[in-house]
This record gives sequence, C-alpha cells and structure tokens, in this order.
Amino acid sequence: MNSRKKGMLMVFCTIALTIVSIVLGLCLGSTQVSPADFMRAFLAGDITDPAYRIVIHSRLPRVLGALLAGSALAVSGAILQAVLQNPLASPNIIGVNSGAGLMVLLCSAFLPSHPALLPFSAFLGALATAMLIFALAMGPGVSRITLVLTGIAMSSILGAGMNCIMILYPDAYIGASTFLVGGLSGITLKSLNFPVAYIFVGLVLAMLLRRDMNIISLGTETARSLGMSVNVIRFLLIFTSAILAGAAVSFAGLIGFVGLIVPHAIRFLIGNDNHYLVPASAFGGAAFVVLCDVISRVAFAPYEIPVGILLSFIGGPFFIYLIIRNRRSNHD
Amino acid sequence: MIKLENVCYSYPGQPNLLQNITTSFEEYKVTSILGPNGCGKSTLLKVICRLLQPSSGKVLLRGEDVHGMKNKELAKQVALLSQTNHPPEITVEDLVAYGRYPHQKYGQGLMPQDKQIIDQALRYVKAEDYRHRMVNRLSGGQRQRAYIAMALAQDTDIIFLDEPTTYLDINIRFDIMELIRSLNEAGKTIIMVLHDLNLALEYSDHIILMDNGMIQTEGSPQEVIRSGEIDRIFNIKTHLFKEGTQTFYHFSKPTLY
Repeated sequence: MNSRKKGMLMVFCTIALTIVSIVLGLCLGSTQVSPADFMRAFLAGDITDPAYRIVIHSRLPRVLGALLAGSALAVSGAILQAVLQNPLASPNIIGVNSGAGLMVLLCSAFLPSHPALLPFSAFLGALATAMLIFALAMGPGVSRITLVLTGIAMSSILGAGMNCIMILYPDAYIGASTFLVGGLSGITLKSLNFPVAYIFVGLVLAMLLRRDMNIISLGTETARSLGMSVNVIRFLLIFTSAILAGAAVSFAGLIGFVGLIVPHAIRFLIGNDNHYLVPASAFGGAAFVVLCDVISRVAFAPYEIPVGILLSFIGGPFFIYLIIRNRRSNHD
Repeated sequence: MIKLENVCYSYPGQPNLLQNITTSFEEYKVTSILGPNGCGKSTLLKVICRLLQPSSGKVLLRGEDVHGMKNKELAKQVALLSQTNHPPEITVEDLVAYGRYPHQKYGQGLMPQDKQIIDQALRYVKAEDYRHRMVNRLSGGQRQRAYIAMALAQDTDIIFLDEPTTYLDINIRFDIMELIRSLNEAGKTIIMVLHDLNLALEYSDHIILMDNGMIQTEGSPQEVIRSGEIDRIFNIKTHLFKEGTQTFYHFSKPTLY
C-alpha cells in the first residue's frame, strides 16, 4: 500500500475510533445507560428521566472535554516534535503544560471572577515556557536529551510555583489535587466555552502548517534554502502548540503523555508525513483520552481515578521505551 | 554571476573565520572550493547562499545583494544541497516535491506543471524506480540522487553542494560527480565544497583553494596544481602522470620521498 493510501486509511480509522469512543463514553460509567434508554428519554423530551440527565449533564461534558483535551494535546505534541526535531518532545515533558498550569492557578487565585481569562493566561504560560525552552535547548550540537533535561528542570520550577499558590491560596482552585494530575470530573459545558474556540483555532492553524512542518523536519539549512522563513514558521508552530496545550490545560489540568503516546503510535503505523499525522493525531488523541477516561471511571467503580493518573501509568513506560530506542539510534 | 566583495565572517566573540574574501563565480561553470578542515570553506558556501550573514562585505547575485532579497526569490535562483545527517522518513517523491516550495503560493497544492517538473527531476537522476520508497531506507548514493532531484525541482540556475560525496563508496562518488557534470552541461552553474582533491581536480572548471579563512589561490585545476599551493597547504607532494591526453594526480606525504 502506498503511503498516501495508508495515511488516508489511518485518518478514517481514527475518525471511526472517535465515534466508537463517544458512544462508549456516553453509555458506560458507574451506571450503565444503553443508547436505547437515552434515545427514548431524549425523543420523549423527558428531561427528568435519569438516563437523560446522566448523559446530558454528566457524561456529555466529560466526553466533550476529553475529546477536546485529547485532540489538542496530541496535535500540540506532534507539532513540538516537528519543530524541535526531537521525538522526545511533548507538551508535558518540556514543561509547556506546567507553564500553562501555573498561569491557570495564578489567574484563579488573583482574578477569580474572570473565567474567560483562564484559557488566555494558560496560552501565555504555555507560549512563554515553550519559547524559553526553545532558546535554552536549541542550537548546534545540543543533544536531544538536553531538551528533556531542560524541560524537567523547568517543570519542577513551575511545579514549585503551583504548589506555592495551592498552599497560600487553598481555595483558589476547586479540585486542585485533580488539576495537578489532570482529570475531567466536574467539567461543565459552560467551562468549555472559551477553550473550544482556542482549540478550534489551534487545530485549523495546525492543519494549515502541515507542509511547513514537513519541510522544517528536513533540517533548518534545507528549509532555508527552499526559501522558507524558518524563524517565522518556527514561531507560528510554537505559537500553535501553545494555544492547543494551554487551552487543554485550562480545563483539564496537567494531563500528561497524550502528546507523546498518540503521535508516536500513529508515526509507527504511517510514518512522519504531517499531512496525515496531524489529523490522525487529532482524532486519535480525542478517542484515546475518551477511552482512558471511560476506563478510569469504570475500572474502580463506584470510585474513579483522575484520567491523568491512568495516562501517566501508560505514558511513563512508553517514554522510557522512546529514550532507549533513541539511544540506540544515536549509536548507528 | 556571483560576486563577493570583502566578505568577512566570524561567530560572535571569535576570530574571523573568513577574512576579506573577494572573488567571483562564473556562470555555467563548475567551481569547487577546497581546503583543509576548518579553513572556512563550508562557512563560505553558507555565507554565499545566505544561511549565514557576513559580518561585513557583500554577496552580489547578478548585481543584487542577496541579503536584501526575499527568501523565496533567492530560492528560485539558488538551490543548496546541504550535508544531511538525519534523512527524513518520507517518500522520495514527497522530498522532491518540496523543491517546488519557493514556486508555490501559500496553501496552494501541486499544479500539473509542478508534477511534470517533479517527474522530470526524478527521471533525470534515475530515481523513478524508488520514488515511492522512504528516503531513510535508501542507500547513500540513492539518497544523494533524491536530494539532487529536489534541488532540480527547485528549478534554479545555480546549485550549491556541500560535500556531496562524503560517506559514499568510491564508485558512487564518481556516479554522483558524473551526474553533477551532466547538470552543468544542461546549463546549471555548480558551486560546491569538496573534500576529495582528485574528484575536484577532475570535475571542476575552476578551483578556489582556501586556508585560514582566506583564498590562497584560484584558477583552473592546472593553474592551481602549478602554483604549488596544494602541496604547501596540505603539506603533501603532488605527482602528475600523463596518459594520452589525460592527466592524473597522485598525492603522498612528502617525507616518504
């Protein structure tokens, strides 16, 4: 099969998977609601029916939140891997999520009456961190691991800042402990209003920049000699990844590893062509987080663990695997 | 066609890598820049094709300062084959298609004439058979052909090559040099940095010999050999052999004789 057909097939598969995950996300939970139950209540217009209430008020916002956070973080990761030319890059690992998180908490502590500011401040935090990491860890002869180490250092500084705010302003953020690991419980449709707009813009930009991502992956010199304004494109790409990661963090907290696992799983199947990688990551990330959220709700029912914990359990080992593989390929 | 006027270059806080380089490159010629490691030859190439900005002096392309030109305008006139350390995981065909980047408007796909140029480039370098294969899975010679096809698809008058034969087997080196010569015969101006003295002497019309950030001598291969500068700079001895009309060169360490 040629690479184009493979890419298209992958995009369709991830779309199908997303649809399946939405149905599962709406039906499964501590109470089972069959699609038939819900449709009956929905068509009868019976808003007091428990099936209707569970689906519309509790599960729909969660599924939507998971879809948005998953697609935003996966695409953000795919972009960062291209622009930093580093397979280990992803928004949680290089500290971009932490930058967004610190700004969210600052905003909640000092400007609690302006929820519209949350995604914007998260975006600013993500952008500032990404630019700083870029300045520190790029340049001739800097190894791929340097980027990761710089990110770890940055994350711990920003994490210290977040913990400070939580101790000094314990009421600033409701469910702050869930925020630190990333979770989707307690999401309302209203809280998604602003992030939706940011993520939409971010995804459109990412789709428009796909060819540039491919060309920048050829190396800076080649990209320049093809007439690309490399610095402008780089900034646009970092800007886009910051919009996406920031918006996701603003309502879902520090969900980790989606931006690492999903693009890599897709790369493994179809290669590095961003024309297909970006849309497939968007849908694949959406489906992945919805499914993980379902598992985190169902596995220990009636208790639930925040989805971020589950993702760390999956993502941590995956990250170690990537480091080992990267080490091998450097010896070639 | 390309003129350099008093070009200097230094990395911040370091002594000049290039010192007052003044020279010119002729149209339709093959020019090779030679010199020992660290002499500034790659830096010079990067300054000419604007990957680096000179700290003083000017690079003129047909009378126009390249540092005042728009990126895409320059890329329509000059293509560069860099040394590639990380071959991409994309198909040969896609790689060659990126050569059309400076000719495409933003967000525009490949037009029929773009596809035609890409096909021509693939045919020219004889890469049609593996056009659907991944660049990172190719042999060194095939990969270099794919990159040359990308430069061809860029449809420029001038092609720069940064050590195009490094890491290749000896027979493949000759194949690549023959390909470069045929490009020149088809009307391209070729400017390259080479490591291999024999290849440079055999395939160049003009040679620029550098050391310590300065041009030590330049001229035709015979003139450069006759100047004795190669022997001095590399601390070697050049031997000439004539066979019919052809001249061959052999280099050895001077202490052995």
